[in-house]
Amino acid sequence: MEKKESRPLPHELERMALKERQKHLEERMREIIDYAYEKAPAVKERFDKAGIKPKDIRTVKDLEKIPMLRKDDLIALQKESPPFGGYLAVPLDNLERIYQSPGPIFDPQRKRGFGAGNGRGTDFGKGQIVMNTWSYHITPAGLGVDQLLRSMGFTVVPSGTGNTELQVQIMHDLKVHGFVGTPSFLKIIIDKAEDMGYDFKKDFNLKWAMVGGEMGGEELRKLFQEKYGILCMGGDTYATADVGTVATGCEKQSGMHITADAIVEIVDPATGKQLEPGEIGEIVVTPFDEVYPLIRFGTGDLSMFVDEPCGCGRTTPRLPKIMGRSGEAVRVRGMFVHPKQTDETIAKFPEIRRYQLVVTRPQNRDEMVLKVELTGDAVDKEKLKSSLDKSFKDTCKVRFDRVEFVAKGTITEDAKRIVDERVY
Amino acid sequence: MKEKNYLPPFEVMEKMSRGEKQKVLDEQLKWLVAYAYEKAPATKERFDKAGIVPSKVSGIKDLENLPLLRKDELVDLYKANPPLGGLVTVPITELERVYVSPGPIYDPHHSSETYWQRHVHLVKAVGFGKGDIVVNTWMYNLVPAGLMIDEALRRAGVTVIPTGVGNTELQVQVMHQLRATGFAGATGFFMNIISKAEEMGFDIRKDFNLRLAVIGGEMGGGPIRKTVEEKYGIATGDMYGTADVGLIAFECSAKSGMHIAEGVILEMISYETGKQVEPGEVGEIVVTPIDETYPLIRFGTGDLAGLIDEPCTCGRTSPRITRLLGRVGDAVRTRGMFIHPRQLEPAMAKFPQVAQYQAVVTRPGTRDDLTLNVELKTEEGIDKEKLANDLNQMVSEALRIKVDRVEFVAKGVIPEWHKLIVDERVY
Repeated sequence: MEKKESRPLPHELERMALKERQKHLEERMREIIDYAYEKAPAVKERFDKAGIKPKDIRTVKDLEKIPMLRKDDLIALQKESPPFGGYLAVPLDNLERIYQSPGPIFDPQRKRGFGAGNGRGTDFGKGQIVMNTWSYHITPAGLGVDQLLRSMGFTVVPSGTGNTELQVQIMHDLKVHGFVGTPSFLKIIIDKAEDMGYDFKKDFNLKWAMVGGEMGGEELRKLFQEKYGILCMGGDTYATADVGTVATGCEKQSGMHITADAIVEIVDPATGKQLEPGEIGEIVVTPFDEVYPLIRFGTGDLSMFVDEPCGCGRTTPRLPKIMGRSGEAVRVRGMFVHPKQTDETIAKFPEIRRYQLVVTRPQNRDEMVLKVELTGDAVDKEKLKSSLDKSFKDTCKVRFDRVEFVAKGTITEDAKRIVDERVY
Repeated sequence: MKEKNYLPPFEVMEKMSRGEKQKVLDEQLKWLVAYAYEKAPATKERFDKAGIVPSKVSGIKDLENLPLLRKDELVDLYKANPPLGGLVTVPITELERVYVSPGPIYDPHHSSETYWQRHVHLVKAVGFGKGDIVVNTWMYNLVPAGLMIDEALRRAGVTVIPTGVGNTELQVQVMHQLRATGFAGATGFFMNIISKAEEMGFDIRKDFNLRLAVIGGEMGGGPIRKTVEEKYGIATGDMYGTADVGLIAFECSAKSGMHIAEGVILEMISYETGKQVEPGEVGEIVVTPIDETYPLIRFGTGDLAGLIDEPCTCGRTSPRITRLLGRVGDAVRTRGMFIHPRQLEPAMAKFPQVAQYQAVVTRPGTRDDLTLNVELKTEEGIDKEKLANDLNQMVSEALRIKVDRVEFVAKGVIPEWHKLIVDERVY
């Protein structure tokens, strides 16, 4: 695919008016679809099977016509025609590296990288030393982040996982500026440093951390910022081994901006139809990737678009956070309800011991009943009901129909938190 | 500063006559010495201490009086002058990466073009190239090995699978499914993978596509290589290097020793006299790679090898070294003489009736005492007295000091993994 000279750069795209950006993105989308159809046999097969041609896909909305590619499909395709299941669009010996991710699934090395660098220049990291604690072996995480950091001008210590004490020593000796890895590993390193008698804030030079890859990193990020003065740069980053970076946080820490070198959709996992901002659905990605063009790759992860303007100046929609896996969620009256959300709601009520959300469909309408076991009896049930209702609606964007108080022991410890009993 | 001199392509260098190449390397060295003296404070200090003026250096022979830079000293230098010991010519934040070797030594990622030219040339010479899919099992985290070999292979056009160490079963699957053509890693680990594959029911010859295994990192791999080649039909290759200077030698298809890589000045230094050894003799591998990022001038690797100086049938004119014969540190100074396992080994190889042996140095009074412990394969039909005499004579000759006694010990007294010479002296 030829690059046109006049093409806007990623950081320009990120700050464009919505309509203008859409025009550019759709142009690139059409190019990658033409290209993939021609070069990647599996893409052609998927199109042919669905009875569509590349020319049928003119707009992002048209993407709905293309059946999604699921991780499981890709695993099966790779088994059938190894190693890349017909999705590799370049000769195998053009690849610099091949990775393997759990599945097992092979990932080719691509030009699109990982991390928060999109739209930042090559001098961005000049003068700073960064510890990259993602593992460099087998999966693309460590080497992908390494490549990206170096391209931004950082000096990278490829320290990988483990060896906590050595990591502390490196961080101290080299006056490391930045940390990349999981929030929990950074916490382990800080704890170890304190065990070793260091005053982390005084004795270390750690200015920022790019931490992610785990659910529930928000609390640790808060701790790093407030207690240790470590700026959690870009908040979270969302990337997968299959498609690379999908969204990255900005300095305003108000969610993750979607990347400008892919089309990202939020869809109903059951139908593949695109959802409106504010509606929770599966993240589907079409990366502008000339090596491995996985058109409409369903990540299996749930989130939603927030399209209010961000203070950072980027106009791209944001994903507030990853809200769970699509397999565990239940769609009720058009909205996904995920155990993560219900857990979050119930956690605010210490008087509730256990709960279960039961979804039925009595008369063509989804009905939700929240079954609740209380810790003790001295509870104002009416008051609890109304606070539950409000809290549930705030978090899950949909209301339950009623609360049922059940006797202690009715809900077993290992019971599913959301049960779908609908019959259509 | 003078511009760096032109260095011919290594494809040309490798066929140059000795004298011609010497001239090129001396010119390079002149430039490197001046550059390192100016940019790396630790180099300036070494030269000043030795009273050597860089502008007067016209070739490697002028550096005879510059004391070797040893690995142990590197550790001290890094401690004394953090973060890079005064050895690296650019500020730390100009480096693409910083590695961590035991010490800790903070090895710089080399950015010098000569360094990569050498590495690419070397991995190609060992047999890798475009179209190969190579499993790289050297470690990528912390130490330079994995990422250095990864980059050299990729620059040579190879597709790399960065598996690193461990996960033997996964390694088997990846190697099988991706039809890997090559392997790079430690000999022992390669054999683990092969055994695991057989255990999993694979036939290495039929189910795998392995063409070349470049295995190294361990001494005495000879018999294993033979097995790999004859039983499994996989060619083997060898590369030698250290975390500090990168790869510096490789085995060519003629398999008669390892060629010193182009762009590296080699000296083989006697650990006894400190002087350059003659061809056929054993010495410490001392190198000065032409590398402006990390100019380690006269770096003593601590590894011992024999110097081979006959022309190689492959047509390369570079000097060769034998497989590694031990570490300088394994030598035990006894009664004023260094005795080294590599002296003991060929002498003992002449006694097929011996299963295991170990020389033990003690100091009962004020004299070093040398006992040779010997475990026999069988005692049947052996004239022990005669054997003890023969052993004593042969070994005393090889070590150039008198063995005090030969003792026959029972099986198990000498542990399976043991040093050939142990120093048990207490002063």
